Amino acid sequence: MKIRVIPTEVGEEAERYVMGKTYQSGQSGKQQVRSLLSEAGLVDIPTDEFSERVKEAKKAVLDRLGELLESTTDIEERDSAAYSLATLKKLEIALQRKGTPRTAD
Amino acid sequence: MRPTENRPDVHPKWPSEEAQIITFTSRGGSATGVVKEVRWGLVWRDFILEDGRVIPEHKILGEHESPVWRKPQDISQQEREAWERRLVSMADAGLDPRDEEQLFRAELNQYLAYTYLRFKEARHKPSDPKWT
Repeated sequence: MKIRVIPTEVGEEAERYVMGKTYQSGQSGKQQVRSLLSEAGLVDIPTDEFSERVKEAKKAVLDRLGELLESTTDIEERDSAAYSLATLKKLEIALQRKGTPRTAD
Repeated sequence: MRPTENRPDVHPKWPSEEAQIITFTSRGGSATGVVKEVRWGLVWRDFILEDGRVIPEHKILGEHESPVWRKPQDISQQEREAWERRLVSMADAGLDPRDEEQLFRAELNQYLAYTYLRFKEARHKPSDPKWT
């Protein structure tokens, strides 16, 4: 199989602030995001943790929605967040219907 | 193999169009498969194999550097809502995200990662740009 080596993306920058965290110089944008998602356990969600991750996502959306509801602007984002919340709720219910957690094989 | 669509912010292309077999980490070690299609998800690329398995790019072994990941603000409302409808449809059809290397699991994983980035980012947005 041919796999070409690709140069690291442009991103050798000084210390950067991403979502409340400060990342060291040399971390590309993708590495920063990957670190963030890894810490949140979202790069490769373990088999029996999907329901829990859906609940956490719902909480993140709810927190944001709470902020948006206090604002008279950002109506579009509010509607979008509400739509996503409804999606997550449907997914949560569907996952609950799947019954008891299955152990990893 | 149908390659991933071109994106102006991602270069150069990987894998090359001749590359059709990939080796990737799987439960209990590594596995190989023939690539049918490569497509962008909400955050990263997924490799769809001929046998239907879906392998996220970061599980692929080999000496390569993958393209940048997508930013939440790169996702249009239309794309997000289409993704959400598809997920609900798959869930309603009884698909189970605990099934390894299957489409529902791959798409739900990406959606949860995207949602986390989207809303955490919105809540912690500093004044200076963080995505480059």
